[in-house]
Amino acid sequence: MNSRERFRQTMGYGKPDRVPYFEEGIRDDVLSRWRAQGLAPGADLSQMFPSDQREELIVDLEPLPRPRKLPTSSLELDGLRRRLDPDDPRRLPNRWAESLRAWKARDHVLMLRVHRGFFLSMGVAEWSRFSEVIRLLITNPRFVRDAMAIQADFAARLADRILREVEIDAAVFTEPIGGNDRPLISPQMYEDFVLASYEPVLAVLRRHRVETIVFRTFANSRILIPSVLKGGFNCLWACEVNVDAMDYRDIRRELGRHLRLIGGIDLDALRHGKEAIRREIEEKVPPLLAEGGYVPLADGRVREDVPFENYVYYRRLLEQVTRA
Amino acid sequence: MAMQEIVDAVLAFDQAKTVRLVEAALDHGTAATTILQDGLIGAMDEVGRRYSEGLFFVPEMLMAAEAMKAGFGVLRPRLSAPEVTPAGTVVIGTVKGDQHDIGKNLVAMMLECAGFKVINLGVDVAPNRFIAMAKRHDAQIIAMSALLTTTLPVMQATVASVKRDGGGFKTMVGGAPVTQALADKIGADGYSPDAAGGVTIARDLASR
Repeated sequence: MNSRERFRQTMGYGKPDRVPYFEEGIRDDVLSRWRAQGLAPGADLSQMFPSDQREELIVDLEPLPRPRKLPTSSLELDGLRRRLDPDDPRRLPNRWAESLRAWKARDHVLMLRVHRGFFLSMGVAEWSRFSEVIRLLITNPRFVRDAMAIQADFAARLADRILREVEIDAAVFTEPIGGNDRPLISPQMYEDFVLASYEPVLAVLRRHRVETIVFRTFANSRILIPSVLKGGFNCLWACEVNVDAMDYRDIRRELGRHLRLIGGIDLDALRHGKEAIRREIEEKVPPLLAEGGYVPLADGRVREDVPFENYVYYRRLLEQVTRA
Repeated sequence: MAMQEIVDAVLAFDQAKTVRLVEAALDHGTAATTILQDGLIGAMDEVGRRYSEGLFFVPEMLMAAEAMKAGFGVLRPRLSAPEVTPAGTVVIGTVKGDQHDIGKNLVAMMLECAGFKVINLGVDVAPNRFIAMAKRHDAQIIAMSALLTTTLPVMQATVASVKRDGGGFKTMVGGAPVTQALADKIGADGYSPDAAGGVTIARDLASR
C-alpha cells in the first residue's frame, strides 16, 4: 500500500496496512543541532523511520499586487476584488505543467491549501489591523461579510481551476483563530462571518468529490469545532494546542467518528522526555486508532528544544504502538 | 444619575452615549471619582466578568474598552492629581526574540481600562530594558508575553534578571505557550491565561 492509498484508507475508515506517518516539519536549524546530538551527517529522517510523504499544494491566495492600504469600507472592495483574480498565472506554483504530470502518477498524499482563514484573509498581521478588523466586526458587519464573500468567491474559483487539472487527497483551510483559552471571536460570530462565507469553496470541493476537508487550526478553538463539523468540514488538524482543551479523545467522544483527526500528540511531551512521550502516546493513540479515521502526529513543528534522542524515541514508540 | 446607565452604555459599546452620560453626570454634580470608579471601571469589571464566563470575546472586550476610554477622556481634566493616581504602574512587553504583539496589547488595553498606568515597550524587549523602564517609571509590575515556545527560555531569563536586580518588581507572564505550571517553574509572581484575568492578577500584585 503506498502513502496515498494508506491516507485515503485511513480517512475513509477503511483497512490501511498501517496509519500514515507524516513528518512534523523539521527545519534545517533543528537538524544542525541534532547532528551535534548524534544524527549522522547526511542522514535522511524519512529513511531512518517509516514515513509517508505529504505534499501541500500552495497557491498564492493573497491580493496581487499587494495593496498599500487594506480596505476598511465597502467602497474599497472593488479594488480587493480586482486583486483577487483566480486566473492570474502567478497564483500557481512554478513549473505547474511539470508538477501536474508528476502528480498524475504520484503515490504520495497531495493536499491543497484552499483558504487562509478569517484573520489572514482580512489582512491581519499585527495589532493595528487586528484591532481594526475586530472593530469592523461590530461597527460594519456588512463590510466584513462582503470582504469574506469576495475572498471565498476567489478561493472557490481558484480551487475549481486547480481541481479540474489535478485530483487531490485533501483540502486544507488554515484557520489561526484560537487564543490561549478560547477562540478570539465567539462561535456565533464565527458561523455568521466566517463559516457562512466558506460555502462556495465547500461546494466546489464537494463537486470535485474531495473526500477529506481539513480544518487546520491553532491554539484553543475547541468551542468552534461543533460548528465547523456542522458547516461541512470532516477533518480536524489542531496545531500548537492547549492539550487539555483540545484532547482528541474528548472531541471524538463528543462529536463522533464523522470528524477525522490529524495530530493530537502534545509536542511538549517531546521536550519533556521519554516518560512524558510514552505516557502521551500510550494513553492517547490506541483509543483513537481503534476507532479509525486518525493520523497520529505531534501537534506542531518540531523545534530546536526537542532533543534528537527524544525525537527518535517518539518515532519508534509511535511505530510500535500503531503497529501493535 | 445612576452609574448603571454609564455601565450599560459601555457594555453596549456605545462611545457617544458613554461620553454624553459622563458629561451629564458631571453636570449634575456627581464626583468625577465616583463616575470613574462606579461607572467606567465598574463597567470594565463587568466586561472582565462576562469574558471570564465566556459571554464576551475579544471584539466585545475591545469595543467596551474603547467606549470606556472615550468616557475617561471627558473625565480626565476633571480629576485632580491625587484622584488620577493609577491603580499601579505596569511595564509590559513581548520578550526578546518574539515579535507577537496582539495578546500583549489586549492585556495592556485591559490594564489601562482598570486604571493602571501602562508603559508598553512593544515587542522584542531585552531583559535589561524591562528593568530600566520599570525603574524609570517607578513601576510595581513587569508584565511579559511570549508566543513562541522557543522564546520561553528568554522569558525565564527575564524573570530571573528582574529577581536578581533586586528592584522589587513583581513579574506577570502570559502568552500561548505559557501555563500556570511554567509560571511557577520560572518563578513569575503572576500568570493569567487571558487579558481579563490579567487585571485581577495585576491588582493583586500591586496591592502586595
